Amino acid sequence: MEDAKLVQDFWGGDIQAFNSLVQRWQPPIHRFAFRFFNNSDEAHDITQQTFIKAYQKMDTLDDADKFSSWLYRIANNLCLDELKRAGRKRTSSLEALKVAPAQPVTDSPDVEYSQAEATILLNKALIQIPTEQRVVIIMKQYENLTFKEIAEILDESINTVKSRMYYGLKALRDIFNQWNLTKEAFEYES
Amino acid sequence: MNHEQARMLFMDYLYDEMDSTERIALEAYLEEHPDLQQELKELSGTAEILSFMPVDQPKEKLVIVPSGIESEKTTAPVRRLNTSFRYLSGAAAAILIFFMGILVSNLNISTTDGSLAISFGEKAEPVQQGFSPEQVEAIITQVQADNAALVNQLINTLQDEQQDQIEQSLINFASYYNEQRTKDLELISLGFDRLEESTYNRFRQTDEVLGEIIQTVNTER
Repeated sequence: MEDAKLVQDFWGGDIQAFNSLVQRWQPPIHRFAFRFFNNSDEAHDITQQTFIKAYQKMDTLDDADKFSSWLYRIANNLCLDELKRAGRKRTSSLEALKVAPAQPVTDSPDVEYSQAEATILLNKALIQIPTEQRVVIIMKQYENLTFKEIAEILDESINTVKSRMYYGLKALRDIFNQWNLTKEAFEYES
Repeated sequence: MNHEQARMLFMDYLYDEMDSTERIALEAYLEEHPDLQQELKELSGTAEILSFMPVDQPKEKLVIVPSGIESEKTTAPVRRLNTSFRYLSGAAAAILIFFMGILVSNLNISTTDGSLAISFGEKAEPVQQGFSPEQVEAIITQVQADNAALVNQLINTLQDEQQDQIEQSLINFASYYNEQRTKDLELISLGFDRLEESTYNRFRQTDEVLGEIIQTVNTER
């Protein structure tokens, strides 16, 4: 059943319709929050808060067809709020991550990472780039949303979204180069 | 097409969000500009690396809305059963442990005359409540006596301090008076000395003048 139909059913009083929406959208929202914070507990909290807020504010949704964008917007705003609320604490922990790669970084192209180490570095690299670029990359790369959908969620122009994606990828490329992180690290277990 | 326009199309190209005409045009431009081609290749490699990140899926269903809830335009929050169940289980376990503790420790709780008594084991003997009138009177007397002694001691201390201050002031005044008197006497003495010296000098000068006059008169004779 389409999201719009489930939303309409919920508006009509069918509580199970909301459970169906939760069941359908819980994994993507959790995945998004997990990428955002690189933390399972935070992802759990954000996911729960997102659906609680969605339940409370469902009557403010203008268009049932835009449920997914609306839900992502709630999740994104909650992530940003959480980032702001716990700014000092999180900043310090993120700063610690920024300056402490899993393995000493050298200029030598011979550095090889295990798959696990490479995954940790990947998470750290994603955290290093600016938040607005990270959000776009997560939505595009991992949630497979179109640039139009992302622009709608973030209430930005499509060109702005593409620009953030471009600069985000460039920033990540520089980090990967600095850490000598290549796709081979993920393909072969050392 | 120029470099900037080509770069604007990179994201559409990487994520296949462009039509065939634009794609052909971009690819033709890239053929002529290897530097841009290299840049696009690097961005593509970066996106490929990102795709290796594993997915963390929640192990449990995080949010469930009980079907018994009337949902018509409700604004009640969704119940987080998992969390609530944990809290309820915890609370129930705590209450159970509390009551078992009461049984095991033979806890006695009693109230008498508005007071609460808690004891373990055998029931506690009632303790004396408050003071008798005699005790209250004795306490008041004792407090009054203590206060009187305290006030007395305070007054004595203040008197002593005041006496010391007066004595010190008198001593200071006497010292100042003597000092001033000595200075005055010294000045008077000095004045007399100067007057005496001045008088002596005048007598001596007069004698000298008279001596010269007498000598002059004798010489002329």
